[in-house]
Amino acid sequence: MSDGPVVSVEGLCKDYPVHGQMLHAVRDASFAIGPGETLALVGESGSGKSTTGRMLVGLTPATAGRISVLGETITGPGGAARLARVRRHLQLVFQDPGSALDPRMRAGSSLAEPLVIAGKGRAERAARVAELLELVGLPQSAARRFPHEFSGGQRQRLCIARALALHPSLIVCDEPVSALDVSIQAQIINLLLDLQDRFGLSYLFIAHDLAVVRSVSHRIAVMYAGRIVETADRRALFETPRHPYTRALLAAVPVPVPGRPPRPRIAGELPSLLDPPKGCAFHPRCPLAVERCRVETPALRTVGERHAAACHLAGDG
Amino acid sequence: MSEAAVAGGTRLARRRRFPILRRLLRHGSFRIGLVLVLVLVIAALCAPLITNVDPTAMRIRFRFRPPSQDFLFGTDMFGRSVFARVLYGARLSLWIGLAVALLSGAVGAMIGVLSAQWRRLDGLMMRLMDALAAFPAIVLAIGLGAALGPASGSLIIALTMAYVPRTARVLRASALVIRELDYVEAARVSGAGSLRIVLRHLLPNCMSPLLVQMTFVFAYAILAEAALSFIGIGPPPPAPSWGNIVAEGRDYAVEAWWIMLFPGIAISLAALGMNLLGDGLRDVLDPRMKIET
Amino acid sequence: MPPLLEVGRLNVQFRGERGWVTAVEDASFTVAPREALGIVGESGSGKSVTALALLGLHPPGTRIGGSVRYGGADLLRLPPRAMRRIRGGDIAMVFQDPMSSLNPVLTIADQITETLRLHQGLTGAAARRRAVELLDMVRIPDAARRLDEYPHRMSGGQRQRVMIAIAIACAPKLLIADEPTTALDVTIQAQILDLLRELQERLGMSVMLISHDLGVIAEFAQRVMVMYAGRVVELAPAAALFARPLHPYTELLLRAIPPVDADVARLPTISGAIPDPEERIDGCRFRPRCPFAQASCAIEPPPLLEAGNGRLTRCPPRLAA
Repeated sequence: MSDGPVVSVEGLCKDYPVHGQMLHAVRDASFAIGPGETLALVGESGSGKSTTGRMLVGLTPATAGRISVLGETITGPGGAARLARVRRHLQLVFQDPGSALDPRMRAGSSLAEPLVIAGKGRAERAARVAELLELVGLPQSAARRFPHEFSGGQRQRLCIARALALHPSLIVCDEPVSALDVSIQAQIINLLLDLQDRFGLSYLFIAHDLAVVRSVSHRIAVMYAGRIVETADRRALFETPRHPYTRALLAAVPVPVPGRPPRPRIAGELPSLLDPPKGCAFHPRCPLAVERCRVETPALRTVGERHAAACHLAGDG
Repeated sequence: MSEAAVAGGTRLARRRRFPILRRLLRHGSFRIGLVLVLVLVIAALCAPLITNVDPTAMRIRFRFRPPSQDFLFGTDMFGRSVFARVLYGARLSLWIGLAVALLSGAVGAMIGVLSAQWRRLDGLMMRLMDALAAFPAIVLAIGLGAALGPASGSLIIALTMAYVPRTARVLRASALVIRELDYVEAARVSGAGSLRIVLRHLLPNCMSPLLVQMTFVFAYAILAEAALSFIGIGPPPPAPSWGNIVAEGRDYAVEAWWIMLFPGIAISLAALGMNLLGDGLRDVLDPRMKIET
Repeated sequence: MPPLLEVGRLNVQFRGERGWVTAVEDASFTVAPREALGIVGESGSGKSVTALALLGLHPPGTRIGGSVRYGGADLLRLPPRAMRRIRGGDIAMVFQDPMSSLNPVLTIADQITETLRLHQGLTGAAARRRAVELLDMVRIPDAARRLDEYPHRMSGGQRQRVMIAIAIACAPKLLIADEPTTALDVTIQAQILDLLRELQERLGMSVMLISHDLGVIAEFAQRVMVMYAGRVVELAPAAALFARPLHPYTELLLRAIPPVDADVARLPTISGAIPDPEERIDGCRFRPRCPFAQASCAIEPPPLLEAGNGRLTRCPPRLAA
């Protein structure tokens, strides 16, 4: 595999027509994920993070922009044929492991389904299923069981195993631990990290929980109302956040340390995507907003090493 | 792999097999329905073992005999044993019910699931179903009877056409929900084509609503057979069906009430039994009614 | 000061596939006036079942034992009429899902004034004035106008504010909030927690906050009760509990939470899975997952022991060490 990025995204947009209006779910998103790297997409509801993930694996067609996977552009004219060529390199792990497995299929059949579609023979499938169960720490007897016989954490292991079946390069993990109990979350996070070390997997990790994001990602992109508003390496984002929204998000995370002094909160609601605020979408809630923020949409610009923010007030360097 | 991860996976929850069957058998109305339907089916299948009287044998000497030790359900205007006729009639009536349920289930499932998967087909198919549903079943049956001749075949076709739209709509609604579920999307991400999604995921997961729908159609079909026989477009005599026994007894309703009564009871029991079965299935299979503890 | 609510040996059992399934076993605790008690636990811990049972909101066919003393009466033995007067009046409740807790075909005004009419006999203009006041209290801007809107016009956070307004309408002595922020976005969750804290102080009520999120509990509660698989495993003042957990489950759970303010290579994990409620585990229910388990842990259910400074723990080996 080359040293180039596994996936690169440029100017990605997604619009949905809603009652004659245009809903801009994702606007002008650009990022790249290298081999063995995890990019976290962080945001609240309506930020466009899940839509971005779905476009990456070809479940939702992009309205505009370019997605390249291993050098193949899967958007635009002829994109479908090129997507078919790199299909096996793209996989998806869902939030709710309860609905991600067909309740009428035994776990073994669910794991084998991608292999069947890829045209693998019976013996090869059986061997790979055994290998996959081993990889995610489930006993071989699991293959004969139905999804309802597993706990939530075990089901998520099965989903991860299914995603690994065809040796993918990139797995989009859409809130993979947020439906799990706290004592199970850490097991799944560690499993994802172990698999990444072992196979050099790249992850697009979509999450709303910043603490989880900090424990898994190398780079982070924060989204708000369809746009990436800040992107940085993990440490830089958590220790020197430059966008006021990132700072607000960090301040809002409840921390298991009682008696901490209250941190600054932001008021207001998430904006409607059908009628987003003019200028910077965050300005009605921003404690720093000035006149310029109300009229001009800030572009994402470099504010430090591998660190960019879309804020008029985030100074250089 | 970390130790903890392996340990986390090894202990699988132990649950009993066939949990649905267990819950069904504990469901009160399902049990009653099951017993009713089983008794009727067994009676129909074992009719020659239960009675050695030919249901079509006329004995003019014994016309209009009320129920007695010799004639359990009495005799009709041709001296035929009503008991034997009801037993043998169960074969035809239940067969019509079963055939209509299976046919309308198969056709309805196909139409419903296909229009859910291929959205371009959907508009056309659903308008077609609307048109079919708007057409009265009785007129359809009369028309088909006129065209194909009065036979139980034409009755089955007419009733099937009448119940297909309903089944198709129920199945389409279920399939529309299921096709958005994560496991269908996961299959799509793995490159599964539409046909594979329909056959491997949509159809198997629509089985519960289909089964529920089919039990109700079964009950309706038995009632419809009786109603259509009553107005003279049911299965032709002399072969007995519950519907045509009732129809034949109509003229003697006052003086020989038993001719209508016993097939009438059989019809009610069959419809009740199937409805109870359907209720039980719906309670147990419908995820919206599932109580999580 | 005598407690406001005193729960004694509460037992709740549901009918399962194979006989009765214990959802809550031997839960005893008190809520003091003006106190913020946090109940934390994972799925199947029995935390929500406990709350519902206090108010008699458990599904029919549930077997309940023990006592819930409130104002000289035992709520578990109160006739339904008297219970209805207390529910929504003296003791109010806020649920997790603000989307389904409000009736979509009634306006906000209808839903608030209904509570006022039922419990305080307030009608007409007086009820409406009070409703505006309540919406102001939960910080819904432009309250007089929003009153005539339908729930679907409001965001999740605003709906949860309306739910809180309905809950505090009759100035309850105790507010039970069951995962009130779980369905909300992070920034909105912080706002709702702040609001609950402010209202608690202003109205002088006690709050029982139920959550799976130790962070939310730490931010809100003065005293914390930890539940696991139907049993109370630890009860302590919040500061002490988070600084020095006594029960192995609490300790491991705290360590398994990813920190937001530090980088870690790998998280410490708790092995195994949460037991199925129907699964029989002899002795301590946490034993199969506990790295400190001893032979004695399997013999009998450990008792809840005093550990000094108002602390209780259900781990005798740890306490002896």
